[in-house]
Amino acid sequence: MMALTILISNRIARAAIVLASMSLAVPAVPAMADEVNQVAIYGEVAPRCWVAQPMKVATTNAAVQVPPARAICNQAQPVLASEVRMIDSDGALMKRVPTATDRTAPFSPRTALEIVVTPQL
Amino acid sequence: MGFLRVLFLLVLAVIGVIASQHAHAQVTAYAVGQGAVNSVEVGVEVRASVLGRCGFATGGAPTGAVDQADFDKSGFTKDFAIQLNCTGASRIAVSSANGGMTTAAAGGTGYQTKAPYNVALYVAADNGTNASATCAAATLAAGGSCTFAGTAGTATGLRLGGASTKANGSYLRVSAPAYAGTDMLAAGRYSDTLSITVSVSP
Repeated sequence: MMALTILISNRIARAAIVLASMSLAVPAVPAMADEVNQVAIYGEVAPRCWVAQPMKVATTNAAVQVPPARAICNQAQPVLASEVRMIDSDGALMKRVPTATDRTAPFSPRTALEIVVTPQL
Repeated sequence: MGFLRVLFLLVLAVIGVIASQHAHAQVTAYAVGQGAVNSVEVGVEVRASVLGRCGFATGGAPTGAVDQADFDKSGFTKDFAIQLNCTGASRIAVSSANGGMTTAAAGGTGYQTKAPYNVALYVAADNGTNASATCAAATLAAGGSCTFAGTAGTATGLRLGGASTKANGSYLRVSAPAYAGTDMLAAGRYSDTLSITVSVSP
């Protein structure tokens, strides 16, 4: 009687284990993603300045009023430099005119004031 | 008391019969010439199920980087190929660490330190169906309003209705036109990180 009980218990236990395994094998839907991948986005903005409102004025002897040109730099500290240059027959800027301290001759009628704005690096 | 004992024995007997069913064949087959029954036909029901699985195929995860100089002037665009390995419907979601490309450079009045860009998702299934959407990176940050913002889950992410186990041309695209914001972008190095996740979808 004892042996029969043990035998039956073993069989029931096996059946229970099989049933439990089957219930575990039921497809389970993962609730959340388990795989994460990353993509990196990089970019560079180089320091630079540009003229927002270009100004080209051909003046006569008469006084003229023009809106000032506007230079923008993408850095907080722009640097200004200016110098007087000769203008050639095509209107292009040519050689630099020495500053007043080392200049002996007066300005030529064909000169221009060049203003250069650069970022402070 | 006697009735209970009889009932108990009866139950034991039934259990014993059931338990021993697998141990004893109901029909005996004999070798040819040794008996009338030479074969036994047994019906075996075979059932199988495929576990729903979903992820990126090996080598199919969108990884890598894009690095664009002077992107404020030129803009940029870059596609990252995606190959899923999902045996059923899936969802794919994207989150942005910064909600745009940010720089550590100092800003200030009139300067912007976060550059906008767009993220597009296109996913295609084996059966030819597809799903796509485009969102600004700003809407992919935590709590963002993009349809595929966040971490993929049963109800989060762009849903692809069919299985996708092949290279179907799916991709993630990051892009930006030349910057046209009111405040100028401060000079500096900009960066952001996108996290892409995939999940099965009911």
